[in-house]
Amino acid sequence: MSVSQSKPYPQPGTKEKVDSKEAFADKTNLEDLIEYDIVVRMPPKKRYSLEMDVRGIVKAKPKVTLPEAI
Amino acid sequence: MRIYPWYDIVDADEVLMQGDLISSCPVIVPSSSIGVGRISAEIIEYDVIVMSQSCDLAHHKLDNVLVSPIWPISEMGSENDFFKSRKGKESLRQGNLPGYHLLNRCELEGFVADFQVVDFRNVYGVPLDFLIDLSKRNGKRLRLMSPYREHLSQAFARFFMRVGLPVDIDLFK
Repeated sequence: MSVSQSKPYPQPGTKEKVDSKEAFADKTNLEDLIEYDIVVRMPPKKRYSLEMDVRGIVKAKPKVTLPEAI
Repeated sequence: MRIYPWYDIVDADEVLMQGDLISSCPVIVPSSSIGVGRISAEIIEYDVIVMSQSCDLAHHKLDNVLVSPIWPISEMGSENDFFKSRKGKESLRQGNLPGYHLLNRCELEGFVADFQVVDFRNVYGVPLDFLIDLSKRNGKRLRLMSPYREHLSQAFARFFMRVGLPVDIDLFK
């Protein structure tokens, strides 16, 4: 398995410079490199109800924002 | 050696930027049937981080600001044990949990916080004018600094552009 030294997702706190694949394997638990698909449904910080008056319902219109150059 | 701080504290009336942390941002969840007249709605509040691009915010080029909820890592851990484990935290740090992004601790006076987790799966659009008002009412706020905010933005892009293949190549054994 080839392991790239240039991490696509560099994180601060990685101090050591890795010089070889062997050194990389020594210092890194390869299990940590596996991508996990975990979903946690967090409850909101606060939840409450209110009553509101709907005064009207209109279909939205597009809002065009042109780039500066045009 | 240059120091690259993760956060800065900005005044309430500073222009809103990507990476600004806004506490207690309300989101309205309307009841299923909406018509003219009185309806009930639920309000849910989150601490959020601004995901929209700073230039769009500065020039009012959008009506709604994209925000992502953020959670202290300890609260994520109390909902799911994976976030308590070394493996979970390390996966988070390395960016191997695509729906989540880890922010560093903050040690700035008045804004001390543990590691925080950004949730990319539950983003909300909040009206810009409302968010500006809310941030002014909240007072001074924390701002994620460059290049950490671009790192956050890139992580969101990576999450959003994922493609699931219907038929994947089998694992090499």
